[in-house]
Amino acid sequence: MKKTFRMSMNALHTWLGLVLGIVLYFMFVTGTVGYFDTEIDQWMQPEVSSGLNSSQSFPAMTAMAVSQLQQQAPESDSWNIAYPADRNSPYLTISWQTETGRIERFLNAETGEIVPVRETGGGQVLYQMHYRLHYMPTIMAYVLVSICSVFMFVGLVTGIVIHKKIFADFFTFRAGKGARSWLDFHNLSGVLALPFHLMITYSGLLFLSLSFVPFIVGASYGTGDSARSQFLEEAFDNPAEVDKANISAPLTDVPAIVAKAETQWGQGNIRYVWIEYPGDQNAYIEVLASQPPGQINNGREMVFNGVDGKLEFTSRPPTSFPRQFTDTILGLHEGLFVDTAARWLYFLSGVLGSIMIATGLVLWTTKKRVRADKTGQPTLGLIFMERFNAGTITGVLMAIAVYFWANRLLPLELANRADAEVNALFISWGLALLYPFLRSAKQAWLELLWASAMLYLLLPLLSVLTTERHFIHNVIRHDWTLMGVELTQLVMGMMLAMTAIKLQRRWRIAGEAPQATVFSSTRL
Amino acid sequence: MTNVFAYIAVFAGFVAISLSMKRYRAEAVSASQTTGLRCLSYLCLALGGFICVQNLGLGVGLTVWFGMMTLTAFLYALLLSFYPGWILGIRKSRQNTGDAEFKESSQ
Repeated sequence: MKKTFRMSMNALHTWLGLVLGIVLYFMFVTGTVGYFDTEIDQWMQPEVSSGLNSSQSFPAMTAMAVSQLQQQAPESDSWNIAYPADRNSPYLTISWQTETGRIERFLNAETGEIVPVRETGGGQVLYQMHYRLHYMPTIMAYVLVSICSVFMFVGLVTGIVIHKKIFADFFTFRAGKGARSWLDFHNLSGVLALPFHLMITYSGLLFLSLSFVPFIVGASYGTGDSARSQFLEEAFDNPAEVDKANISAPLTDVPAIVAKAETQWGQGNIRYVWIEYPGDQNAYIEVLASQPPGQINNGREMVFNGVDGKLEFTSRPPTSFPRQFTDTILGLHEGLFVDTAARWLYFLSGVLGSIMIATGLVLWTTKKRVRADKTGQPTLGLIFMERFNAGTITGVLMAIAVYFWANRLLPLELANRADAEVNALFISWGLALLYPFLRSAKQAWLELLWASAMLYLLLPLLSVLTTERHFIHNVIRHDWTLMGVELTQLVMGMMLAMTAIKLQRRWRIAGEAPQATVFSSTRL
Repeated sequence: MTNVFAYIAVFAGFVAISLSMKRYRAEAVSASQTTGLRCLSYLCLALGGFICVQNLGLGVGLTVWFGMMTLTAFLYALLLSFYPGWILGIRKSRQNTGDAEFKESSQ
């Protein structure tokens, strides 16, 4: 057969998908979950409630936070206050730099007292996994993620090329037809969410561009630290950094500065205050605005002198087109600007992306299985991928459930508790990957699906047993955020259970008809 | 709440598109009517986008519009696949052809 352009694109698409599918699936799932990162944070830290409804003004909160910082960390060179401004940052927290790292404390937004909370990675660590991958050094993870994103992009473009009837098949899903159905669903989830897929992949690359193509900066600015900081200063309009003077001087009135910033940006529109070198002559205070709803890119900031309180720097809105373009695209990726309803649209698009990758992986094994059943000789690749798919597609979902379980079950006083949660996630995923090799692929699929379904379905019950803020409490207190998280966990569990039931039923029928293949009659 | 109107417009747009497509089209729909349906569908989709942009501003409006189209088209595709009669039942009464034929033609 003559090799056509489309056929070679098809081969590229298939092999890229097979090799990188696992990483891309992990990135898509954790990234999608990340659209509800602070909601998950709240669920994973039931001790502290959101400060969004506090009656205190931001300057009053600042006064409380500064006095806490003065008590807790008088020696530290870098203080930070985060305000309960909006959904993206629902708490009043303080943090300070120590020699070993940053320490963060949650404050009661009414009284300013420190609220003891469990140590957890929360939704933040879960969402960071989609570009940090965990365990490996940052730069290595960035390079790996960049490579995967490039190939994701290639996968999307080749996917468009090899799709023969994008418009004629726009709504087409033919259920119960074996490989045909898997291809239909792969196409459906790919094509209908294509704007999202293209945007998210391209913007993901743009996020990592400075790590992935560092030489472009190097070519114009030279290499080395000073050249790099010069570039960052010019490109991102950062205020010049000052060093500590080591001459003590009293800290200025920080609440007054916050009040000043509020008159500029509007009440309650402040996300962070950084106080650098408090009590030093060169102290300065950086105030960052919260992202106003409806504005895709953020980044407004002001810098005040930390001794006399004078305004020293105001960020200008970017004027260069590439900078505006980058800001907009990166803002689109994060989706911090959208309200809850639109956040769900982001989430669902991400789910479709994950489904696209998962169905692509299953499609390959389904096709090969049909061929293998005819010849009676399954290839090693097929046997491997069938098991690998079970351990990846269900395994990642199960591992996230285990992460939530670890948050509730690990002893509160455990050292490095947040790390232990993440270890639980990756260990359970590792076990899920191994498990199918001990069972048949079919058994592994069913058992892993049931296990994950049960883990999700029992999560709300586990919360009742282990925390004060369970669903009964949430219903009474009208805590929609936590209720939403728990309902989503239940829906997730129900969908996994439904998939398991459906597969079981199909396979029982298929068991009576020996010609039928592993997935041939699976209706999604 | 005005977003509900945008959803309705976008959904109507996809229904109109599908009715103008070969796979779902009733034979009674003539060529000129197909063109009409096409134009109507694009108009509906554009109307949805216009409502979004009006309500939410250009940037957010467009973002929400795209997400809305993805969600609506996906739900509509499932609807067409599992309950074709709900939408294409129109064709049934007009043309006296049943789902069986639709299923055949869609294979």
